[in-house]
Amino acid sequence: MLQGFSRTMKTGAALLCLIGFTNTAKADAAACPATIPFGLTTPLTGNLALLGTQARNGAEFAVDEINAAGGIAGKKIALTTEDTGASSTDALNAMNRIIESKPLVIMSSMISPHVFAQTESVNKSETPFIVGATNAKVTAQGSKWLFRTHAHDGQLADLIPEYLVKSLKKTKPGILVVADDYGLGASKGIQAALAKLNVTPVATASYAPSDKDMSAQLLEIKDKGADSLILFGRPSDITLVLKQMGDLGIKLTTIGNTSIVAQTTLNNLSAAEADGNYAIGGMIPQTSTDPKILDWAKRVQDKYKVPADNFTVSYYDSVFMLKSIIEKVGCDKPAIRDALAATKDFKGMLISYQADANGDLTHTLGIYRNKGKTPEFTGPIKESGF
Amino acid sequence: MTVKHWFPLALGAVVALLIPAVTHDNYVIQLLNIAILNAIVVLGLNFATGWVGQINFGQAAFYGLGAYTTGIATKAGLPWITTPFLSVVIVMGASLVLGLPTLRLRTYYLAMTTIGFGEIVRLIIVHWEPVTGGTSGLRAIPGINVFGIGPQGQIQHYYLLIVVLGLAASIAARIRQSSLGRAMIATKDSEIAAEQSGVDTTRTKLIAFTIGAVYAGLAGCLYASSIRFISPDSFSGTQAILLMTMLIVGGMGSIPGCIIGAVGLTILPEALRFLGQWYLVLYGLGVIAVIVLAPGGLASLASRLPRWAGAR
Repeated sequence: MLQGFSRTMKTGAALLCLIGFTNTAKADAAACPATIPFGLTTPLTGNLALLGTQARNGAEFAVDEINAAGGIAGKKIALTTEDTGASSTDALNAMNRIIESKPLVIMSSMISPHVFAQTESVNKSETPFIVGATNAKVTAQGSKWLFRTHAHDGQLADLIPEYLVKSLKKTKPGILVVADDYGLGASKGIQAALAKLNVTPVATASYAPSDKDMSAQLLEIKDKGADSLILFGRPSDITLVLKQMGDLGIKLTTIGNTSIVAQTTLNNLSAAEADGNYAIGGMIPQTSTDPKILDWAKRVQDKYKVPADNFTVSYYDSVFMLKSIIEKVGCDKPAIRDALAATKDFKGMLISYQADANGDLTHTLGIYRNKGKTPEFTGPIKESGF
Repeated sequence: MTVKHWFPLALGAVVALLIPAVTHDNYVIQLLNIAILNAIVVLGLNFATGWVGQINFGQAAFYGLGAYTTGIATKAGLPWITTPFLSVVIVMGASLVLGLPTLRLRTYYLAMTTIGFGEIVRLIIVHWEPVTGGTSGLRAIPGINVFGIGPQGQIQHYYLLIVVLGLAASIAARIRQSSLGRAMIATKDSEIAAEQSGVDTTRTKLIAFTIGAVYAGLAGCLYASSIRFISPDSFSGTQAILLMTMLIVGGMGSIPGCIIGAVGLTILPEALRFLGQWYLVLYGLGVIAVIVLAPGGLASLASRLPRWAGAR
């Protein structure tokens, strides 16, 4: 009798569990709040504002498009953006402010020290966290909430030397980087990748982000007999380097990050100064041949008066990726995190995204070459293993 | 001490102690924690700049030295209790090396050398990556821990920092009232007259500079252990200028002024966030307005109030 009762109870409990699981599986966007809160922290003032606004532009443009098309299952996205300025302490303040507003997901900028400062706070809030920060170590922090939708400098550090040595057949490169988190991190990785290819750089130099004269570094690289230049920096300083190369009559096969082909760089260069330089990095919409993508780039430029770049694309794609996930799993933060970690072949504007064990979602990069002042897409290049 | 003196202090203390009871907002409490740390650094800056009249742009670098000493030491496994002492030793050494040759000179030599010192510290932090983490900074720095006891959460950190700020302000007030404090003021008013009166002005300037560096180093130690992440941009030349602005806006030479300036200018940019990118304009105008309308800083407004009331 008791055994039968016990069996009945177990069966009942199992049924209740099953009903519970079924309900969880059925969770969808209809159960989300009336407005779905997204948070974004990015530099909108200070010397990083040029970069930070690209994140804001991409995310905001996507949110506007989604809301104009009826939102996620009829629920509008409410994007709250906080300015981090240029300091990590301010970035942490901005993040704490965002967290207090209890967003469903948080995005942060491409500035790695800011993301490093913010990660612990976001981990404690247990909120899915999408960033564009380019330091390879960002996703190696062991955070199960953190994901990256932009190419990182570890990938560039491997792929740029490989393309320079194997495809462009250059074996005596000089390296010139901006002395910040981005440039110095890349320089170290590039030197390691060159060593694997049995190539030693003839000179390795850097300049401070605020420097205006890089001629000493350029002349050193030229005098040491370099046949090429690996250049890593921000659009403002890359412009100066390329201008000064022209002024000094230094002609080297130059390859680097996408600042070399960014519209903000090219707008300030002559065709001769820009021509022939290569870049590898995230996808740039202006080089596409797809009229829809070109139209999108034009609409972004018309709205923000700034050309869209690889970061604009990655933040735009991030929002659409989140929309797709929320439509499937609803507004449950752990479920969104798990879905991000399980991302496989999500079609973005220019590439497909696939999550790896660290939370990196971008594994396809583009090779670009300036023809005069117009960047041309030479072809995609994939991270090994993808 | 009269009622006129202790009443504002008691009121300030009560308000400070009640804030966590009014708000549990982690963002607000963490912002106040950063404001308190800035106040300790500005109190330190006040010794050399407010009382001795030497322009010092090295305070952010000393703040950074204290923070990095703590970050590196605790991550290497040293007990936290050793880090305040290590930070003090490092910043004292650096301030003596910097101050001994410079403070023998008059006028603006200290300003120039401290700008250079700040840049040297920044470059060392950026390029000595295996130790300092480079531009990526140091993460997951162990928190404050004294024999297994340490503050947990923002509110406990807040109360600890309030106590440290109270101690820092009390020590500064005692020094101001001592013969050393009077020598500092005399040196600021006229170095030649002070020397004629038997004040060793070089020694006075050096002591003021070193005490200020110790304040910054200890604040850096607490910053690293409470924020638990440090990177070079938090101790840059921009931060040095901001600290100087806090001192000027609050009121050079005034202990309450240092605290008001630091807390005000830490909170103001956050309070003006709703203005978006225009907040910098209003922030700048506000700073200019204070400097023009109250050259003695915000602290001087309190002393003007009775006069204004009398004039009416």
